Amino acid sequence: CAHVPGPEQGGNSALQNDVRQWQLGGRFVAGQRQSAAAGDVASDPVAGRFAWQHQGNDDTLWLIGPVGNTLAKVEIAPTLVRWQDATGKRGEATDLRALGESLAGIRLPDVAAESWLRGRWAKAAVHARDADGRVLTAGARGWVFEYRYGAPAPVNWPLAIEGTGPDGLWLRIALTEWDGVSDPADLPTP
Amino acid sequence: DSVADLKSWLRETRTLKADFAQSSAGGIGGGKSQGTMAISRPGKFRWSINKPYTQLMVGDGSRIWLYDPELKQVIVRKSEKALGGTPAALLAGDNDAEQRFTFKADGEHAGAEWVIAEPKQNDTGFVRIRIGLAGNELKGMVLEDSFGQVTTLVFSNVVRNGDAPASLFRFTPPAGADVLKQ
Repeated sequence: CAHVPGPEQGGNSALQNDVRQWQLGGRFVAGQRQSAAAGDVASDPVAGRFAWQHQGNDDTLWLIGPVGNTLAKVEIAPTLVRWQDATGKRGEATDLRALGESLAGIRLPDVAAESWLRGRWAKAAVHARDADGRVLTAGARGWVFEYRYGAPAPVNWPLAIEGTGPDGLWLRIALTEWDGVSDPADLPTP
Repeated sequence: DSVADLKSWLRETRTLKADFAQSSAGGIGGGKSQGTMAISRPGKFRWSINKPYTQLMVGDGSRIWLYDPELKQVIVRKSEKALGGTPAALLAGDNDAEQRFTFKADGEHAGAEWVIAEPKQNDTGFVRIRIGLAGNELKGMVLEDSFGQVTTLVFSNVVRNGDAPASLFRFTPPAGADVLKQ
């Protein structure tokens, strides 16, 4: 998974460093609809709760069960992806796309999480912005992502994401936790 | 003895309703939710999260439905495949908890007598489930998974062996929701 840092974020390296470290949590569903020739039949989907930690060039994806327990941990580095599930099974893949395909039969976006999940894109990839300059639609590598904003998400973080990818791939994400904060009431007092 | 008390509590519990507050720590930390739950043994349960988001899980005895209104999605899967040695199986399963778990006393604290249930299968993802009873009232559960994540469930407004209409444990996908089978 080639990491394309979002050049949108200029500024000094301290800010850059801080900016390139974030965590998101929420729920997802992803699937692949057959092409029109085979009839619009939804293939086996994958769905659940997740947490995503981004730090520099590395990402960690946690898959979480309905009552909050951890189902699997996926460590994503630029050239290798390692996973382990709660029963102790382990494995590797060249990238997240190959991993998703081998484990769940679903190709996950081979786009930098800083872009597709965090919503920070290279200018050239942005199709539309809202009045506050936030990305509404952007895309790369055959994927197009649409972003919704609004409470309880903090102002510059997405609340929901819909993605459509090549060969009938699709995903929907509802975010509920932004850098460890899920409820505005949780915000640390300044 | 708390193990014997828990086993008879499980045997004599036909229905259960309660509010729950879930919080997780360790592993990835974070993760809180609140909602209501209902159980009708054997095999039926309803787990309704209402904060910080809405999500409903219904076990009708043969299938488990997971409905997420915000994602406009319903996922349905076979009960046996999903329940296994999970907390839902312990609370809502049939009276074969002793075949699925080994039990040992864990002493008295936080106003309850605690018992540790360890899944016999090692593919459930859970290392240990602690259940706290105060007399016949379910006080809480603590779930430890193999990543070190500890999930605490605190129950309140508990009603045991009360009225639990069958409609609570049925689910009909709403119009417009994607129904996806796993």
